[in-house]
Amino acid sequence: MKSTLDKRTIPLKDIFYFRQRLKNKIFQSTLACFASAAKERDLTKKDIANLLDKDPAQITRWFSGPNNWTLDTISDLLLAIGAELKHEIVPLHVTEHQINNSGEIEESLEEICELSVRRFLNGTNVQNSSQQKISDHAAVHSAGSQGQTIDRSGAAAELGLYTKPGDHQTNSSNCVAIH
Amino acid sequence: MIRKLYLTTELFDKVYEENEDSNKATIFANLIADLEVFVTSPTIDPKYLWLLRPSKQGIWEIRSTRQRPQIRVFGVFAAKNIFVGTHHKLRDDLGGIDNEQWKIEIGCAKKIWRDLFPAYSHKKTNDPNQLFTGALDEKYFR
Repeated sequence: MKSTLDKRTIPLKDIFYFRQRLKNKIFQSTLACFASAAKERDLTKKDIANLLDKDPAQITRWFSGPNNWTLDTISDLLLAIGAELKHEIVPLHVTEHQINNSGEIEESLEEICELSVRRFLNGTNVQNSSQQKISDHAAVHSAGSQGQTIDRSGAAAELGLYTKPGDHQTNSSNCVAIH
Repeated sequence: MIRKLYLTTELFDKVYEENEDSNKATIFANLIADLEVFVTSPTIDPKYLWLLRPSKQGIWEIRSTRQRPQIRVFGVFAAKNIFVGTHHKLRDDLGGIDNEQWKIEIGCAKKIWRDLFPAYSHKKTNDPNQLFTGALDEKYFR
């Protein structure tokens, strides 16, 4: 993928990627929010259907994927769950920075073997040369040198979702309770 | 980042291949966004990640279903929260759930893994909580 920042037309691939990415983010956040409510309050999809006066099959369809969602769908679902979306629009490079510096999981292929695989990282990518030992630390830092990496500095922006003010994480349940 | 995803070189190149064909570009752009779900999503839904039959083989599929044609990315767990995508297929090429093609793809995933890591077995369990964080209280295999 090429830069989204210069004044040339944005490649279609980038446009479709970011569209799908935003849909996925909101969908996964809503799903996580529902899973949390289901665990804590025994909330079911049937309850949501009753609360919204909808056919339960409609709720099942909504939870099967985000492609038919509208902003109203999101609002209705979150309201029924007892939550609402907090959002923030941030420059693309900020989200990338947060992603790269968020908590690393301990397990690593580094300890396992040498191999020829490439690490997929949030739409950007990191290439490890054949038979080169994977180092996640090195992999993250080499991301900027990859030709296919999206340049996320400058004015381009995307929607960041977070759980509560000051908690700008993209990987947590992105909803807050309505009080 | 919650989980890690690795792709074989062949799959990686295919996913990131520059496509003049706008349909293909769209399909793979959506696939990239869908793969990202594995890395970032707080929860993983069985509609997204599914353990193929027979479950004891430990071969999973990531389903990119929100476009036509749908894509399936096959792979295995190297360790908890570490998934290695071995190869992909169009869903239309796989046929029904009892079609022989599924067995072929499972065999293909196993062979790719063996070739990459001859001395290391991937994780084989049907307990999703042993494989990734964010599993829902639902069935991930048949």
